[in-house]
Amino acid sequence: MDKHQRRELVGSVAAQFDLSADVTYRDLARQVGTVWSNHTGHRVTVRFARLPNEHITGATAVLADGSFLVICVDSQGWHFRLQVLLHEFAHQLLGHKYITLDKRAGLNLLMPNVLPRMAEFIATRTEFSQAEEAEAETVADELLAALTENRSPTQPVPPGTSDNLSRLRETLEH
Amino acid sequence: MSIFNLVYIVCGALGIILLVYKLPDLRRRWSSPQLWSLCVLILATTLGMTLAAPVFVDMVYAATGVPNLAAPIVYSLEVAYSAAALCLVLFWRFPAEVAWRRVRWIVPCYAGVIVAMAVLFAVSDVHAIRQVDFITYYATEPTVAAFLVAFFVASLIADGALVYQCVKGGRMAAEAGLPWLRRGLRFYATAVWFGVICYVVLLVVIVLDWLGIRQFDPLSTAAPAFGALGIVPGVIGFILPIWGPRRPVFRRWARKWRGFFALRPLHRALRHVNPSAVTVAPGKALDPHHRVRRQLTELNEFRLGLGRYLDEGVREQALSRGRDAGLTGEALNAVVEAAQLKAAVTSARAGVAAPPRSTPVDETRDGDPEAEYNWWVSVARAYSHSPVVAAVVAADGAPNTKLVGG
Repeated sequence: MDKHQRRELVGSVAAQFDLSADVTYRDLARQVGTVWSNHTGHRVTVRFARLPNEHITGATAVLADGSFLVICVDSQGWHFRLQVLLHEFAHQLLGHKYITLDKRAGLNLLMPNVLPRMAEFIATRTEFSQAEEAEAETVADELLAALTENRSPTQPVPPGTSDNLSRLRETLEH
Repeated sequence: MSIFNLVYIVCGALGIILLVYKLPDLRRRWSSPQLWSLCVLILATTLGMTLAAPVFVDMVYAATGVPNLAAPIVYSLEVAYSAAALCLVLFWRFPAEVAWRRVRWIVPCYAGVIVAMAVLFAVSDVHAIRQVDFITYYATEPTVAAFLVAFFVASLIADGALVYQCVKGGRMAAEAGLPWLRRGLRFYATAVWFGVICYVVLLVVIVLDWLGIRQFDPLSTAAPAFGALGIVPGVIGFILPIWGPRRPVFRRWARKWRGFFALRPLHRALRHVNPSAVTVAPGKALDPHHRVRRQLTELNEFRLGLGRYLDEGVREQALSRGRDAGLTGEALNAVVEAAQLKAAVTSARAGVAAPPRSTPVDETRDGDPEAEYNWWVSVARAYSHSPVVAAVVAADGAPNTKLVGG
């Protein structure tokens, strides 16, 4: 995926988030599951857990019913949780293959103490290449930027702006 | 002659820079007639200014053997500039379909002026080469006089229309709350005024020549150079609407670099915890927003890696010392966090994990889009500079004063 395609992808995904002025990291993290679900047409279950291996911060698997299970580290800050969730979502956006769990795994979700071990199980069996990880990290980083940073230099068009002024702006402001 | 070379060539170079900057925009909006008009305007005036330099006047003569041939070329380019200026005004004022109907008249009229000037030049007796005073030297030659009158009339009509549109557009921009566009249009109008003043001075000098008054002839050599200097306000007018609204972007860019360097000591102190987490996306090494986002992500990863070494005793001591130092709120929290991290780095190196926590995990940090950045910058500053952090870590490291959490 070249940078133009990536920019288009990130723009279209970011447009599905509610980016109101008072939005917080937690609000955005909560929206990731909804946007992901809308994107795939399948349920997305996000669980936060203290993970035993500090090098594992998130893991995703497809359950037998086609829904997604995302296990995210319960880190101290929602900013980091958002970043981890976006990284997991980025794999899906890029068409990377998650592992599929059997029906029993879905039942295990009812027992919260199982989550850390399940995350480790998923992470050790998920075989994303280094290139796929890097690509997902780049998309996640750009999504994070689109959701949390406002760098647009364009001034909004004031209401009632004449066509004459619009044409002047179009010629001189770029 | 060198001053004329310098003025015309430097002004021409500025015009080329403007054109090079604008061409990618033209490529993106290939079907925009006003953008085409603007680019033709810049191209014509740039070529005109450059070819007016005495060095190029000589080169044209050397290449063709026709004395003063540079004069009709330069004036034709200026007429082409005037035609583009009128088209630009029309495409600004009217929707494209309306403007095109009038442009279809403008272009043949101005092309006719160029043809007429070429014919008048061809029938003129202009054998003595004049590098910079062609106008006054041949002012009394009837065909050259007609040549000049055609040029001045065509140019003054276009420049007048352009000044009017820039002033009017500036007022509209002011009313619409677009100060940078207003300033830009004022500078554009000023740039065009340089040309108008030049043509008016030349016209007066020529009329005086017809009346036999030659004392003002030197003005005719200075006036075109003065007119060429109009490119300077033109460049300013070009820059302001584009880069003025981007000032907040520059401020954010500078602020992020400051943040990057503020976070770097802490990042460097902790990176040994998980060096594989440290990455910079290809081509983004000079993007401070990306670099800071990466730092924030990696600092969180490092903190996770230090989780088992974060000592509750250090936390209590930092809280106590921080309060004694008059710290409250976020400043106190940042000092506590920095002290815990600094002590954890030492413990991790020694391989001594902290006792298990007896109190619940801290409340999960949340905030607006700048909160995480502000938090880690505060922690980084406390990590490097806070005397409270230094005192807590020193006390933690001393065997007889080490607190045991729990």
